[in-house]
Amino acid sequence: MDAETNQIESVVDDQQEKEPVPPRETRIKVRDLVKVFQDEGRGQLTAVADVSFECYSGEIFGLLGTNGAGKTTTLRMLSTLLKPTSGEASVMGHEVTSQSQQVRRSIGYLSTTTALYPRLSCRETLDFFARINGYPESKIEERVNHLVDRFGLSDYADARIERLSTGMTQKVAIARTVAHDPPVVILDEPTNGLDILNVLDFHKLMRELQAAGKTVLFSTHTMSEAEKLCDRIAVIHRGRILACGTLDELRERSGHRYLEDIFVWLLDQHGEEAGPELETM
Amino acid sequence: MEGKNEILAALRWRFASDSEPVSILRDVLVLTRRELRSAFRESSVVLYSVLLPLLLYPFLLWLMVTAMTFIEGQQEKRVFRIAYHSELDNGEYASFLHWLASQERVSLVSVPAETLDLGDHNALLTSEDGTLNLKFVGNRPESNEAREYIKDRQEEFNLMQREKWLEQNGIASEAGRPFFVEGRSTAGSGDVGGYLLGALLPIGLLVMIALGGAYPAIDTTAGERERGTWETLQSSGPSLASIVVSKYLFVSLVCCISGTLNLFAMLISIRSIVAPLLRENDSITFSIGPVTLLVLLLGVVAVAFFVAAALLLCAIFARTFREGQALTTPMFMMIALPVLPLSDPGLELNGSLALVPLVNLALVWRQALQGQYQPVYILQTLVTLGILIVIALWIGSRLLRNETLMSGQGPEMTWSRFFTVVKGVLSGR
Repeated sequence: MDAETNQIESVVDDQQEKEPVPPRETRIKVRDLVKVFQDEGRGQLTAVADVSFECYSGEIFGLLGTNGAGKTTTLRMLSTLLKPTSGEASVMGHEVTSQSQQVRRSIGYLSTTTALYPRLSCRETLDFFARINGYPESKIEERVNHLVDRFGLSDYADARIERLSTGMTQKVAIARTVAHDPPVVILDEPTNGLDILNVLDFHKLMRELQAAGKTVLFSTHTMSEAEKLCDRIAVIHRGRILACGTLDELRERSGHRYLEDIFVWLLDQHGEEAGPELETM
Repeated sequence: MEGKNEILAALRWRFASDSEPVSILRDVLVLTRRELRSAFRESSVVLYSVLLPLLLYPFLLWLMVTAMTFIEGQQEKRVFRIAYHSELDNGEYASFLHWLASQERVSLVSVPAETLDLGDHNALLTSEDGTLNLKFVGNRPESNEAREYIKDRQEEFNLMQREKWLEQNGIASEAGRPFFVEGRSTAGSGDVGGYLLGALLPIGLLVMIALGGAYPAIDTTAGERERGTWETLQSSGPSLASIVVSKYLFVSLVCCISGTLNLFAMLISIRSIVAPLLRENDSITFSIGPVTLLVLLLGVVAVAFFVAAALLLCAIFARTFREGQALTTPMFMMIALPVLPLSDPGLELNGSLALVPLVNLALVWRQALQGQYQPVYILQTLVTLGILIVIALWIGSRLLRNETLMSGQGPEMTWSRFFTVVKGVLSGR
């Protein structure tokens, strides 16, 4: 057993190790999802229009798009932070509108705007999030110890978050996201602002989660990241999904090798222009 | 009908809880414990919610007593500079002046008879039409004190002269003894103390409860949004109802802690700092019976829950801590509202006043400290506050339907936007 496999074992629950996850179980189902915002200055704004996709167990699914494409809004609806205007979405079979609490307990959600309590220690943070997400009480201590070891937090376990470096805080934030060992992990631009070492560490974690049968749905505007990690990619632009499939399927369809070229080809196919927002990619 | 269903559906979505009641209770306890743990690690919370309520009154009273003692000491040491017209040296008042000059606190100086100006003297003795006159400057404290002092000495001298005359004429000094009228209060030993406590305690307690709860209320709403922990919490397991209840419980508990600490600090400091000063006056004692204490504590809890609801209702609109401070400031003006009616010492709690929030509780406290308990009005007061708390929480739950408000996004919260949002939310939009 190599070192990477050992780490995979430490991030997942013992119980789940014994019960292999059946292949291709649908974990996230999104059908014709729409979100319209009422802007005080600009009137109605459609952020997400008729978005549909599915994510499966043991899959890393990437939502690729420019800034303002609707990625964050879609993920916020899936994590029950926003109420969809219309359409359907479910996580682990639970409807996001009517079974929001069950959805939240099934997911680990991390974005650049989800921060940690500065006055709690690492250990207290992990304990708190495991507890409020319904992780079995008797196993919480053991789980927290596992996570502290896995993320290399032992030396800082009892230090308050406010005293940690940015990199360490990010590690705790990731550990917090998986503290209750959720079957679905939703990550909104998770590597934004991270240095290269932390980005690589994060990619490793996503691979670990995938190997443990988790569903990882993440958004990014970085083409290379999507190419490197995703089993399937949905390209989203101005609130609409332009294409969805594996990288090979997208290559075959577009006739281009690189995702950047595929993206531009998709915009062209849908009569969209690669506007100034592409500069941010 | 459709609108009503829409509202119910939205509330179900926002407050949806798929858990058993035990699980909800567990969530509330875990969340409240987290709030308390974080809060009491914040120096501002410790300062405003614990140290200030605990130490402010002892410190203020100590300062007051020290200042009074210092001033009294200075006054006792003060030597009055008294001038008199030189013509009095040989008149009928010469013996009084001679005796006055022998007093330790008097520096007597003879000035020419035509002098009218006091100069740097505290008082000037003159004789006009055979009467001894005292000139002093009414707006100078030292001059006023000099006048009082000379008046007292003059009475003392007259008594001495009378005793001497009686003795010289062989008359027993008891005969024709002047009499004095002495006032005695019929109030019980604790009544005056209760009256003084009733005047001091209620307003201070109300302000301290609000001050103790303000920082936690802003921190747990606007502070969470500003830090980004609000979104983390919202995307986690507990229902929004559990989150809101835990926040309300947390702010109420901090208000209770502030109020209780302040109450005991005030009672202890008055008994240990003020009471010794009044030891000479037997009619003033500061004893609090168990029933009074129970009423005071019950009031602290009721006010804490009321103030917490009001503070959270204001702070819920704020996106940042600064906005939260601006929005909760009017609360303190509301808290100070009972100052006006309480300034009337004769005002008593009645059926109408029991409906006025905070004024009713302040009057319940005041009357309890004076040993008066009116169970019907106390109950009416508690019911009134209870109804207002329910209304505040209901409005709060309606506000939570607003996604922009919940996420802390959108433009800056100005007062005009505040009223627009409230109007929109309450009308179901």
